[in-house]
Amino acid sequence: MNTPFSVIGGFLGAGKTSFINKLLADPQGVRYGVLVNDFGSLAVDAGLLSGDDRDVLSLANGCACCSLGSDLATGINKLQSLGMEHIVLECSGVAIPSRIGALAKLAPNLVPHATITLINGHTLADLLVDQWMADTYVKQLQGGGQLLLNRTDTADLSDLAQGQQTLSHAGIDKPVALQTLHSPQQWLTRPVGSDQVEGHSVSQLATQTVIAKDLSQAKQWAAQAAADAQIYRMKGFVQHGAARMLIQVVGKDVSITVAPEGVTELGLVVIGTAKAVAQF
Amino acid sequence: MKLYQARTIHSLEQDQAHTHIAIDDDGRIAAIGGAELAGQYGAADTRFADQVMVPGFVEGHAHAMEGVIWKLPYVGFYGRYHPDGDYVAGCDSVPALLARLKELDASMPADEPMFVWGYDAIYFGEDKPMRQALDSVSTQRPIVIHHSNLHLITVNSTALDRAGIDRDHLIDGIYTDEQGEPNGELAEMAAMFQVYNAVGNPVFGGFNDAAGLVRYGRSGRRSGVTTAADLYNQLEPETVATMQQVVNDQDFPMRLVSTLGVMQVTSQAAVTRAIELRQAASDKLRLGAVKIVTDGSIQGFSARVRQPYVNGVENGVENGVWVAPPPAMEDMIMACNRADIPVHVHVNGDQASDFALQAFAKAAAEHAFQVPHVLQHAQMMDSQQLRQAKDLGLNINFFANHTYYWGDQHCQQTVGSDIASRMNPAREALDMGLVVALHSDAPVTPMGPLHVMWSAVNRVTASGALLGPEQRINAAEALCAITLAPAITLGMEQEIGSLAVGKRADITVLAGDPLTVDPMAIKDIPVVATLLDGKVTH
Ligand SMILES: [Zn+2]
Repeated sequence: MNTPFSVIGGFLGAGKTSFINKLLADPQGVRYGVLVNDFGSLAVDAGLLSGDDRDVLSLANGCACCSLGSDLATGINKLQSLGMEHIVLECSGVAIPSRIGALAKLAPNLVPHATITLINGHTLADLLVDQWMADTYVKQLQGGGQLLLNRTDTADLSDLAQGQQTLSHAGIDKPVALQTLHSPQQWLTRPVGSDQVEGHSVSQLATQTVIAKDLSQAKQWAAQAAADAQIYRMKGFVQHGAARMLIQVVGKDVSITVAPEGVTELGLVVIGTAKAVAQF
Repeated sequence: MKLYQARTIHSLEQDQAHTHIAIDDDGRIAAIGGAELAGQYGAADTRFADQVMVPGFVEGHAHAMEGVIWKLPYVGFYGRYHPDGDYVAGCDSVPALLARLKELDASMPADEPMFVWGYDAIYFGEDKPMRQALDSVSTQRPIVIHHSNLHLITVNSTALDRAGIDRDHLIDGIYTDEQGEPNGELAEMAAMFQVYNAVGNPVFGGFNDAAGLVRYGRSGRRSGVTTAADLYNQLEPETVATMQQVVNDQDFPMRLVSTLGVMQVTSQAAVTRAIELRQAASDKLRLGAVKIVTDGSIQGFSARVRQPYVNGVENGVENGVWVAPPPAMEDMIMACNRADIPVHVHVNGDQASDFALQAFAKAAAEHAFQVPHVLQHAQMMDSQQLRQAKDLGLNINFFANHTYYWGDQHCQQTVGSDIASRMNPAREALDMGLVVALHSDAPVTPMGPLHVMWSAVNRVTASGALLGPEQRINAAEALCAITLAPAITLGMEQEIGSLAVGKRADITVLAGDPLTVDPMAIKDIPVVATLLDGKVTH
């Protein structure tokens, strides 16, 4: 049986721990196993952990000697052996959640599920210009999977609109939702970002190769692919100065990295439904 | 009482060089002077009469991993000494590397996976060996090369097959060739662990390793170290028990200062544990300080820098990465200072230094420093930052070996020659009156205070270029920076670091005089012996 693996990201004060506590307080029949990997994070409410149907493990922060990896693999194994049905990782305040989501591959029978990044509506604007955190924070949100505006219990849709505007001013064109619109469980009940084409067999999917004239066009396409639920994947290379960049879109997550040495072919392969692919 | 005679004894105290040193039965220095001491303390032991005595070297920033990692064969670019004393030549070309691997292959039982360490791709450029090259060594056994930064591995096809990695993978960090096939290079946890899960990783669990500690002691002893830091350790109770057993043994040749790594706990838990650890300390095993790691490394393009890296392009880390959220690290620094716990803060990039200085300023405003706090590495500090550190009363431990090992790469690939030529600015820091220690960060660079000293005195890169000559310091200053200054950073200057009456007789015996020899020869002076508490170590 495959165990879903979800990642909850967000900076300090975004409400990760209370989100998880709410989840554990009313698990709606799902046995959640929680892994915590946050420096200085207060422990998840121990009172919610009594009983044998949930477990929380705290992880070392992978700064020395691969300890995160080994701890995480061990932690996942332990939670799986305890029969947990859904593993949730609370990741560090400086982590890029989409990259952490890839750690699902650490264990067999683990499948990436939801990637959620919580945002504190009160500190969003400040963090985006913070002297230490601004660039990291932008990356965290860009690679944040589903963004959820949290800590706005009294918020209404106008706060949401304001949050969305603040994000797009910072160049982050990802839709943000209000956490309070659903219970935590609902955000985790289906994979965010990679679910929409589930059920299509590979033969139903169309493929197309497009060549971007520069990195900014490739980025634009990647954002378009990420926003379109009918695009399953985009991957390929684009020239950028002397370097070649590798563009990858999986679900809503975009990653842009320097291509390995020796890549000569340029072009982006788009995979999705025929209708969606035709728009590229 | 024991009296030793030497050709010269540099005490590093105000007075002149001496020739005789008397040590009492508790291993403390009873007297230091000339031939007149022979009358007072009996006949001198003359076995070191032709040699030079200096205070025992203090390696203020290295890791016990230096002992652990040697359980694997070394394949780094530069030659290194094994802790047991054998010189292992560097693999400074692809053919040399493959030849070494073939040699190992021939000596190993069939099908056992091969793990090696010390490789750094930055020295090979376009020629760096990939999967196919390793396949030429063996397709029978998995081969895993750990890069020296521990964030990358290069593996052969057998390892990829066992891990089930093929072109259809969806994992970040699995690099591919032009044909889209994995090329054997795997970056970061998610990718690396595919391989570790399939073929194992002998370095895991490295903190609690008695044999590794013994090797660490040997590595220190053979390079003249009588006190070494182990500057990031989770210090679980079992690890501490192992340390007590190994280090307190009278045959263990040096003092060990192990600092608690606090990157995975709350500040309150860190304070509680650090105070608790004081109880487990002894004369030889020092515990109770903590270590915070704020950023990555400059050669790994992960140190937090104000200006993006020269080759940083859009690889997602233009300005490097934080290891933890700055406000949480600030809270940790303030909480430890409030509890009078010494804090060692790893800061490589200039922005990381900015952050640490701001955090320490807040801490000092709230509670004046009662214990030494140290900026570790501090490689890119500018004049203003040094002045701030001085005003705050912080100590500095520079990574002097960087000039030699990565100076060329820093000019071309990381921060550019302007910044590279003033990296680890020891001259300027000393002129401002700062306490300046120098370190190797072994196993990142080889354990060896004389090489560290040489690097700061000469500032010559591996290619032979002179890098930032205005930041050179003289031999006497550099000797202080590998003895008394690091003793201050470890809060031990009352006991060690110089040779003065009442201090511990921790002494390093050298075949040549580091203060008078040609500066370029400092690194080659043989270490003859070390004395710990007045006893010659073995
Ligand atoms: Zn270190």
